[in-house]
Amino acid sequence: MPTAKAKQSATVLAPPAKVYDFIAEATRATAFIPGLSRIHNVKPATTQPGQTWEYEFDWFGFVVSGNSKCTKSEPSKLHQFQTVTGNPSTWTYLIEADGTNSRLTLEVEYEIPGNVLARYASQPVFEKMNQDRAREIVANVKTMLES
Amino acid sequence: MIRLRIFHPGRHVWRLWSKRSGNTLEEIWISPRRIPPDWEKILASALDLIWLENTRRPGHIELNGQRGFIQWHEGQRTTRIRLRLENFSAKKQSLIAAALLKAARFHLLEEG
Repeated sequence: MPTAKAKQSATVLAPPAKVYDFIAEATRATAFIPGLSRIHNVKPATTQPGQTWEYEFDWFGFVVSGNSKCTKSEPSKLHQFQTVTGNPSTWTYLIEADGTNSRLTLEVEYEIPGNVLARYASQPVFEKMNQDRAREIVANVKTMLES
Repeated sequence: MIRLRIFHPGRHVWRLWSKRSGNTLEEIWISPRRIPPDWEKILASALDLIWLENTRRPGHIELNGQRGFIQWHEGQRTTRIRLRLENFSAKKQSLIAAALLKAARFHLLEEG
């Protein structure tokens, strides 16, 4: 199955430790990921590689649910997880110090499912949707931490 | 797994009214229910999760620093929830309101 990557960055006026703490708590993702309605059954409660949770996305009146697993987490530097059911994807948040602030980069690598491609007619349109989604997520983290 | 929203076990909470004026966002939500859930626990824990300090009172949560409040009133078959956010950016107000609405619909479902 073909794969694609969405990547977006922004400077966040907050130190890396604060940015990491904000994004690494699994249940907090509903506050900055559009359409993500629920995270539950987080085990164990503390962020660490191997931590798993269930998620639910709202998608035009449908609920898409699945499981995720944290694959890497380094305080103040990096947080990565994979969606392990449904459409496989790997989400990586990279945090780099930028003076006293942070440069946050979100990279989402995902498989392009054939049925979605059929619905949206072309791969570039689907990829643009995911780039826009990644841009919105990074912008939302910046807003939540700055204003 | 994919299923229709109407078959999801989440609470029914609908936004009835929303108004932005100056640096203030006000919304009114309504939730039909048989037994009222613990709104204070649901909404205050959602505020804690996004690092907004708050003070809890019966039927009311105040956001510290004069940043607004959430009130709820239990009727016979519905709960009416009023949200007021002030002194945040317009975008942050929208994100906070969306996070609280998600919490009202889905947070702590296992307990209620």
